[in-house]
Amino acid sequence: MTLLQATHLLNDKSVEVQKMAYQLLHESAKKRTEYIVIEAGVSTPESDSIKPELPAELIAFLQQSINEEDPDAPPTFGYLLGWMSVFDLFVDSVSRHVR
Amino acid sequence: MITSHFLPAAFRMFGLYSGITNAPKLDVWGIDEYHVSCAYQASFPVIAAHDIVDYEEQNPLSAVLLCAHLYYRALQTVPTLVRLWILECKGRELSAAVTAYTSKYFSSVLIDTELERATKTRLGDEKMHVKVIPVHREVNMTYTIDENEIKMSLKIPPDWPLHVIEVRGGKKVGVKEDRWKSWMSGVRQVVVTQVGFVVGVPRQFHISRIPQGNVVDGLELFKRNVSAHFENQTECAICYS
Repeated sequence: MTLLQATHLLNDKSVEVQKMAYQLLHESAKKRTEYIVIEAGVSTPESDSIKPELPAELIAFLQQSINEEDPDAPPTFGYLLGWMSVFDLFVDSVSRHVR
Repeated sequence: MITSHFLPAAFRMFGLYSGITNAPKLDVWGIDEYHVSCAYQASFPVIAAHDIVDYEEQNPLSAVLLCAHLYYRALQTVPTLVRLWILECKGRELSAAVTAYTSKYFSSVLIDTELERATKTRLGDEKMHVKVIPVHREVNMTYTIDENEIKMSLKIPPDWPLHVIEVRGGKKVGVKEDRWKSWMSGVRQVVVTQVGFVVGVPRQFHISRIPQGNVVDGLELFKRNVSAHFENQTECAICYS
């Protein structure tokens, strides 16, 4: 399952499906952070620096606004889980420079 | 995105746009942990064993508590952005409500965690002494050389992290003014740096391991500077210059 599909599932009406989508995003966030920390750790000031960026599909999802009266708005729980996966990206995310 | 989407959504959920009076009271809830139980995988995620809140679809408070946990994490990881939002907020009543709500329900949890980390730190030794004074939200670090002391204090404001930790230089026997200022400036930078990617922070302030918290990182940097300065220094027993 891709990140696009997982993000799409946050929009599902079922809370259980939203939770499953978050689980996938959580795992993906962990791996992504690990990769970026390692890349940033071995990079030198002269080399191209790594740009930690969120997946575009998650950005688009989080840029919606939650309004229960709007039928197109994402479900509140799914939307908040999307933000939870963003904050998961910060866990253990400080670069350790290799000296 | 944090300032343009997350924070407005969170403050709307807390009801802060119409003042703090009707905002949900969070003091009975543990906002520092949130457990998302998943029927598909019982072991997910790793959680702590106290006051864990889970989502109940039928309970409207559930979403608010998840939102409170996320705001707690925002204050932990991107405090600068929260400060920026408050600074740029055009509604005076709204920014006052956000500040009051944050101080009331979030700051104390964050401060307690920070002081606990400082208490548990192993930075103290025969020369370096760390003293945590919870009632004053203050951590003192004292380096003793012969009968002289070099001291620095870190004072956490009651609405932290909306205001930054104050770094106070105390006694500085044997350290030149310029060097002392540079040390204090380094500690200041470390204690206000967001936990997260520290790209952009000058190399000399990079810490060599995962940070344990703003205060502990500040203490560690101070200890490293002081220890390196006084290592093998025996020239003058009066001024140590």
